[in-house]
Amino acid sequence: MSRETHTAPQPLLEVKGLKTVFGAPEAGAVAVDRISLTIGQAEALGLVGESGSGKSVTALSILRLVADPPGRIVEGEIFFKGRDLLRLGPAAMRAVRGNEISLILQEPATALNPVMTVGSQIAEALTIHKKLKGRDAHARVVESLARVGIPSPEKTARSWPHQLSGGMIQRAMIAMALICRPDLLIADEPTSALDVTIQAQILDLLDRLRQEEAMSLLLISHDLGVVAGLCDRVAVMYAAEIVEEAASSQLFEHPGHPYTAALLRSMPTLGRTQQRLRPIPGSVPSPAAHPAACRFRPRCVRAQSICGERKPTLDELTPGHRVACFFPDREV
Amino acid sequence: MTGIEKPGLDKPDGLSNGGGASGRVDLQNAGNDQRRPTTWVRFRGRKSPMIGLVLLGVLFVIAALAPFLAGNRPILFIDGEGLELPVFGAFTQEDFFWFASFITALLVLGCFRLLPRTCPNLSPGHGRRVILGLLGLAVAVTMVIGFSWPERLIHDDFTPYRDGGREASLCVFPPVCYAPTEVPLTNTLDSPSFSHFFGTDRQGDDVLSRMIHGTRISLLVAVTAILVCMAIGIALGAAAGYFGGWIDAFVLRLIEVVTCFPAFFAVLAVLAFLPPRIFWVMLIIGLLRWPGVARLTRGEFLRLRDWEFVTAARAMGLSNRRIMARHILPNALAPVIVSATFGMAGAILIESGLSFLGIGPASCQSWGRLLSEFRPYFDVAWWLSVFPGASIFITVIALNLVGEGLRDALDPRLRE
Repeated sequence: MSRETHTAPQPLLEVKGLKTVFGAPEAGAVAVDRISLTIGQAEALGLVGESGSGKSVTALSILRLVADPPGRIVEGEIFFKGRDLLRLGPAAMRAVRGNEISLILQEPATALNPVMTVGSQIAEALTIHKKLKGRDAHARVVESLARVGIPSPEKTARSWPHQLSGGMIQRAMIAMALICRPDLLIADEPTSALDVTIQAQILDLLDRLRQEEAMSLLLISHDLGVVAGLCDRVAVMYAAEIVEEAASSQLFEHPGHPYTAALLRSMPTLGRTQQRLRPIPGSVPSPAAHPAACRFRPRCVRAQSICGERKPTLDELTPGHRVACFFPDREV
Repeated sequence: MTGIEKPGLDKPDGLSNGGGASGRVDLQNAGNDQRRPTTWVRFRGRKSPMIGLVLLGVLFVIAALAPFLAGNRPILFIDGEGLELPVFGAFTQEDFFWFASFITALLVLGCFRLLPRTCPNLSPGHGRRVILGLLGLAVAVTMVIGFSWPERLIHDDFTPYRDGGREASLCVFPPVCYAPTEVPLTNTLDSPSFSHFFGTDRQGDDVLSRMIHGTRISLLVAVTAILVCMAIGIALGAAAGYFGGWIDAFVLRLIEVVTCFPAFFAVLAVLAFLPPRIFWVMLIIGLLRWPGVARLTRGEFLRLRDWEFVTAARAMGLSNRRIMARHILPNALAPVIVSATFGMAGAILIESGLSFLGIGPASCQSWGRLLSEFRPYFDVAWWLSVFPGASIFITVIALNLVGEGLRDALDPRLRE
């Protein structure tokens, strides 16, 4: 654990060996398998991976929002400001949600209650966590709507969700997530459902707000480009495990894990004449039947016999750059 | 959908259901011009549900203002000693509650009509809060006055003024100037005429007067039974759908058990052991007919609990209770309201059937009891049976029309 200490003296969030499973205790599917993450004060961590790699379940697990049944967190510790969130009682956990850790969800279209005005939904968080009601709450709601760049916040606060566009709703969701000034914002694919111009606006907004509030950010995305622009560090997830973790410049310049390298090759880059995009052959294994040992082996170009015998551990390649592979791409 | 957000709004004043609901939706409409057609707009666009709604409104007004429509005490009386309002002098506690609910319904309707116009900047949420506040105040005042209502013996008799025995300078009687229970024992079984519009019964009492006062029973049975139904059904259904697991299994088994009892015969059996009061009839109907409501509510909660906005609400730190009451319930209520409307019709039929068989409380002048009382005279005065029969028929039809209209108006597939 000593290697974390020099990057972030006291991490805000420290996830240790988190394991979340769905279904029956023995035969169930493992969605998140003993992953460890740290996010420092005012740091932005990106979590990337293909669909089904366990990114969203990680986010839900941190807030203990995994639907139970069928999901359960079976192992691990989640330290937030020194407290283990997995040991908190229901009321204490509710006091953390929305107040100290907020979550922005993927799908703006259904993320707001259709029968409540936008303003009253945002105000609910204030009522619960800050005991603000009526005019005071309304003023704060309007202020926060203005802060996320909504042009007529007074009117928007009084409108119904179906009257707003997807981008507006996502802005409103951000306003709602930030209204109690949380220490950590978890954004689960905040821009996936939006079109490209709106995407850029929302990402800029997230970046600006993060700097203004000195807030930590866990940004979950399948889009490496989104993460590259916004995050200090990036963790790559594959088949419920973290396979590589590095500072974002390091990761994009010198990917160590063959999966990360393949992911980068499958993505177009602006301003660089590149050879053909190369998709990764095969698909993410089902969480119910992960391959033994190294989980990327069936799709890996560097695979050798040892990859099928032992599981590679997440080891340090260079300071702050950890890779779970027997044959990492060492930078020259 | 938005018009039925607050189920609580109806409860203190459940009797103004029809009118109140329409007014509420109107506020939403007035506040948001660019909205897609609201439930109310879609409801209003069709003829037969509106006929049903108007009929129910008329029935409510008749029930609430019964002493002003039928009775032997003048509304206005002026003689040498000055002006009097004798109808208020004979007000019973029941009369008072009905009258108060009428005034409250008027107030609520008026608020929803006037508030958006007088204060256009008021948000729908704030407007609703103001109206809820007023309503709460009105209900509190009503309760205080109602429960301290004095029991009085009425000595003064105004019938001589009606029958021409005495003269006053001004004496305005209700349109039907006979009390339901005068028992004059003259002019028995008269056919309909200008003095007795629906004729008289075997004791010479005015049938229309009895019918007007009987309206209350039918409406009261419908509303109370359905409130009991909804309270139990929504609570159990919501818990079952939201929490799942053993709670769900338990509620489902309970639903199966209760569904097995045929409501009509169960009420019949239970009433044999209980004091004959209309309250028990309403309660038992409610206690036996909740499974339908529970099943619908459970289904809606099951569907809605995995929606993104529920996850978002949980991520905001909202408690289960708050999520269920404020986020899921308003979205789940549409089909429940529709089934409640049909349930009201069913409750009226059960009560009428019981009274017709002579099972209900003897003191209550319900339409079913009138029907059973008039049936032996079918040969000599067939019209007597027609009036209460037709009233039951019309009320049930009206409720079904409104239910059907609501169902269509709330159906998302029919939205443009």
